[in-house]
Amino acid sequence: MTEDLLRLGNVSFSNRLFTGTGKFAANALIPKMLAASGSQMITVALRRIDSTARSENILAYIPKGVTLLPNTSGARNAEQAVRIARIAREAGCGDFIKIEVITDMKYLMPDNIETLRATEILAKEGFIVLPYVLPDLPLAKRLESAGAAAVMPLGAPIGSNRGLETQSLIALLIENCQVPVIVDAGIGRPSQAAAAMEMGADAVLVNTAIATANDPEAMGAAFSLAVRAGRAAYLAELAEPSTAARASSPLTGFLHENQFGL
Amino acid sequence: MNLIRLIPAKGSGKDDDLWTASSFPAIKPLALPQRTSGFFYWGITGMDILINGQPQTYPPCTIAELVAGRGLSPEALVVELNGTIIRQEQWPTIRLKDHDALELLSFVGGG
Repeated sequence: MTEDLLRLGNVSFSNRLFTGTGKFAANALIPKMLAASGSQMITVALRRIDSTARSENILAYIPKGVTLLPNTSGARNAEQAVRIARIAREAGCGDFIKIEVITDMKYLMPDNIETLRATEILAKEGFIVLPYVLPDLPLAKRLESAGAAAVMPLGAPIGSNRGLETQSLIALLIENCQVPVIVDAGIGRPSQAAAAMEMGADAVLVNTAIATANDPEAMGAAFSLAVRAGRAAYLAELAEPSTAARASSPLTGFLHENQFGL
Repeated sequence: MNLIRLIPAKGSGKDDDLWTASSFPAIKPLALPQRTSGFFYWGITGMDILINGQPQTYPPCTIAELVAGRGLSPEALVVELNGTIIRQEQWPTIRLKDHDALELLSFVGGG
């Protein structure tokens, strides 16, 4: 059996759980979580230094074999996202970029239009662009034409742990996009990650649900199992649901049957 | 370099219409001598630069000296000068100039 790999840009991933570095109680938990989950891609953010706080180099906690996915969080428009992407690449983070352009501070909904504009610019510059978006099929097709390496629709608002609230819209993306669909944001439980994979998502990105679990290392492992299970189920092709029961044992040859079939 | 600036530059203070102490970011550092590289400079020779969007007056120095003076650990630091990333090996050779805009950035946890 050939290995089931997800290819993004020039990198192949055998593990379809992508993770984030936000909200961990201590950075030292990050390499433990990565080892336990086997996650091969992890997000980081870029910020102005806080001169009042002793800052650690978060990159020192990410093993070399794990692909960095810098995000453009904090960007309010395409130009700011492009700037952050260029800085991240120049600073040695590689060609991957998660475009995150947010102006709505209550729900942290991505601005799809600015995200498309940033994708158009960055894909031309050779970035491997993973845009974080509201699941909107026409937009996803535009992102695809613009050169996005994948689309990353949200399941629910960032950090909300509410799961696949946008499931039916994500299903349209999965069915119609040529590029991989990675469900990002809102996934709160391993079962929700499994559900996303079962429906055909190519990967999921989970940060808050792992980082803020009581035991992030064990939760990373739990999510990894769920993602593998969901992916395996998708590849095995799920049986169709039905309203009425369909007996799984034969309906003939009952031991009590007599000559009248009673 | 500039002398005491009588008219605050647009956008340098929080409210350009009010004459407040913060309208004159150049004044406060002028009052004290500052030390760098073994020399004392009076602020009158200082340069007004933007560090992470905040106007500050610094004695003439290189990027490396500024980074060291602020007690920043270089390995975690990304430096952007006037929109261009400056690699660490260049820090000792680049002297900051008046009106330079410096960004001191680092990677942090994020999803």
